[in-house]
Amino acid sequence: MSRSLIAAVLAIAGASSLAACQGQHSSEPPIVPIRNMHEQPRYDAQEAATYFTDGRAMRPIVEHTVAQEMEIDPILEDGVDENLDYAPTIPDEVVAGFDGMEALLARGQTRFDIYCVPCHGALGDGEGMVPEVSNVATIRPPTFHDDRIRHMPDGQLYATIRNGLRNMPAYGHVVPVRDRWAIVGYVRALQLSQMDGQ
Amino acid sequence: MQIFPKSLNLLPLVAALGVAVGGGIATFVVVYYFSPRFLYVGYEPEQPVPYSHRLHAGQLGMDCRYCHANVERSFEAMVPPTQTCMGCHAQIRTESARLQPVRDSWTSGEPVEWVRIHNVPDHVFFDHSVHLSAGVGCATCHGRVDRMEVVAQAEPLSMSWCLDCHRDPEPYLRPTSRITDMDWTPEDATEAERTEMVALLDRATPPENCSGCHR
Repeated sequence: MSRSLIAAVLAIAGASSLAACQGQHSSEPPIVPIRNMHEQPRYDAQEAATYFTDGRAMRPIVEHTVAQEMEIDPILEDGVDENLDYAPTIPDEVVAGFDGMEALLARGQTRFDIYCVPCHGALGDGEGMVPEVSNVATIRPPTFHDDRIRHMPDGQLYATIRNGLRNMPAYGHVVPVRDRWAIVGYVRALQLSQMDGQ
Repeated sequence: MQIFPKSLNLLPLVAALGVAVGGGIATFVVVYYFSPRFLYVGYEPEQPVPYSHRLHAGQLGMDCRYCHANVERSFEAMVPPTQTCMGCHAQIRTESARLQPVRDSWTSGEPVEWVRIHNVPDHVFFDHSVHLSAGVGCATCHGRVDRMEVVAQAEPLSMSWCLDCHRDPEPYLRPTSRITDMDWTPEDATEAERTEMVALLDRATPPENCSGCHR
């Protein structure tokens, strides 16, 4: 009797040592032992949906509609006024929203580091990682430290961030309105910092 | 009259031993193999595009938020839209066969069907933005994604795992400027960062009640 018990213990021990250890990698979907309300009859963000013909749970914005959080002031949103003239400076409303220029520049620096540095470089001199690594001849961002860009109105820098320009993709879909203006402020600060000796 | 033979005197002992050993094994099997740490950690589904986080976030040093742009202001970190991929790849590696699904998506308007890895049950409402502003870094829950060629789940995302931090957040907090810094460890903290971490801890009120996460 005790011998068969030992055999049983050994068999179970052997079987479990053959089974995988914790943390082993697998491309199989995980097994969920307790399924109570694990999958509820609702769609999560970015989930596939059978209900809609295009298969997405998240609905694209209907044409000619305005979302509640959308900015409707053209100066703020587009960087241009009704006559399509570029805003000369960062709108006061934006600066006030950041509680002053210092906070705007600090925010602008963090956003610049995320979205702009890969191509334009930390100094804005165009010596970023992407032009260096990609070795694609057409990717040559200009330096911010020449008179052409120094004398651009703030609204034109803003519109470039929002809409892109030539090889530069648009960043309007990832950087919200106020952050775009903050980046413009930080680019100005970078330009001032590099003026020395010129 | 003897009903039971003498050899049965051992039966209670054997039965007790059997229950102890069998119960021990059963407990071990349930605790070890039925746990989220066994079932969920290491899940690395095959993606439609073999996107390498090790290349983009590691070698190239791109910030997580370049692509996961919503993570600071939304529940969801969001898988980036094809537009974000094409921002660079309209010009870089334009002939790559591995990027074909991205280009197809760009021309057709159909999304790339990325497979979700980190998934909590539908009865859990996890908010990325509040965790980031509280000072919990990406690497704390997602592991060293910058070293993963294929992303695999690094932590169990189980309730007890969540509560470990909610009950004692101090070892898991970092300065908010270091949120996406994969290399950062508390030993690297400067004087100013330590001050910020004390303030973050003072401010932290991670819920331990049910309705904090289950609604």
